[in-house]
Amino acid sequence: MHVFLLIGLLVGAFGAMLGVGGGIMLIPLLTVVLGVPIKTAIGASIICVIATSSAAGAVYVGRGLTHNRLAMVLEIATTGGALTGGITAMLISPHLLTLFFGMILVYVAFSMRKLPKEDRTASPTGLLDTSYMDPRTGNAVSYGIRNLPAGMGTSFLAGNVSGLLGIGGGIIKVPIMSLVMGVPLRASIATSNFMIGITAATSAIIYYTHGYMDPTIAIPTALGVLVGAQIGTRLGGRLRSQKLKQVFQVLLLVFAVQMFYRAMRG
Amino acid sequence: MEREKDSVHEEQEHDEVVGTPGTPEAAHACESRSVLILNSVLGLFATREVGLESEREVKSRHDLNRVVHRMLILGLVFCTVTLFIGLALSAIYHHPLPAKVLPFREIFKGLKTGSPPSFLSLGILMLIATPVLRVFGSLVEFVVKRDWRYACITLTVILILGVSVFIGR
Repeated sequence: MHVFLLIGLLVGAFGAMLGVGGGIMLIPLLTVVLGVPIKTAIGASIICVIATSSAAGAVYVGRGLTHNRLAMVLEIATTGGALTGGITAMLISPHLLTLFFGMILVYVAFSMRKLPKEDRTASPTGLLDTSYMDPRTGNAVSYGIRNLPAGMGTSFLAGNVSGLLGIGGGIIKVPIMSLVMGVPLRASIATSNFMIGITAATSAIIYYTHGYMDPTIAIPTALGVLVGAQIGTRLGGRLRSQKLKQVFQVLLLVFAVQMFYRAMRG
Repeated sequence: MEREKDSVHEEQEHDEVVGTPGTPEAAHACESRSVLILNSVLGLFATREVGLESEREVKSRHDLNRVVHRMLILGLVFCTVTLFIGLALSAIYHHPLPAKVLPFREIFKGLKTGSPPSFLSLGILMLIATPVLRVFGSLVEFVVKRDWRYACITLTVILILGVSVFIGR
């Protein structure tokens, strides 16, 4: 039980710092290191994604960083995707699932290079305009949304990945929102954090009703994540994101190799 | 109405700038026109013309944040308390942690008898319910503020959540 608690702590902190659910780290840790069967691991991961989202979300919403309306709009596509993904996950074999997971890890490791280091110039566009107070500079940042259709499309994809593999999908959503849709990085992390909670809830319901929720794993990990997320949101502003990203990328690739190996082993 | 007039006006301005067909300027002007059409469709989600938000909009945003925040705290507190009760009961009765999360009906039967698996299962269900609570809270807030557009958007999300519940049955 203590192992799961510790894992949860690490995963929660990392997840909150990067705006992701942490599932991308949790599932490989559970399956590769602890030998948990993949569908059960996914079930536990989904719980932790919800925990991260809610715990970190409380802080982000309190700071006014979350774009609630944009999240709702994109969630139509994302939950639809989560539904499709969750159903598919129930139907396909664990080995295929593990293989897909390995591929996603590789994709994520490489896509992280593109995360912007600083906020690009944000400006209102007349579509879903909003603003927030930048804690670093104390100035109000106003921005609007661009390329909404592209955002909806990728949100549907992210939802599918989330429902299928039990990850939050934040790794897809944060880059899309900040690079394509014109949302400043901090706001996209906060908004993605909100969205992954709903998406994960959709898949959680499917996994729960099919009996893949194991409390022995889910509960300690979830509790660890709740605490870790609190630490993560507060540290997130201070750590140098470049170093964090690099460490993360290396870890992801290591896990990807492990998962391919497991999938092939049959 | 205002938006359509502006679109037409912008198109006229572009026509003046365009000049000879086949030139880069003309191509650019055509591109802008399809973007304008797309923007009109997206007008479904748009708030208003580009510019600073009105005080009312800022306040409505702050109110929404507050409601969502409360729902989150509510869900999290309920969930943590229930889980801790479950863990405490587990330790007191030397009951090992259950291997599966119990289905709904069994949870309620177990709660009355103080069985640990019931509390633990309830805690997990409550955690799953927290984002849902967040969505419902947003819906109520949109209705109260008479923001029907976003009320409908939120309702659509709730509908999809509902479908996921039915899939299991």
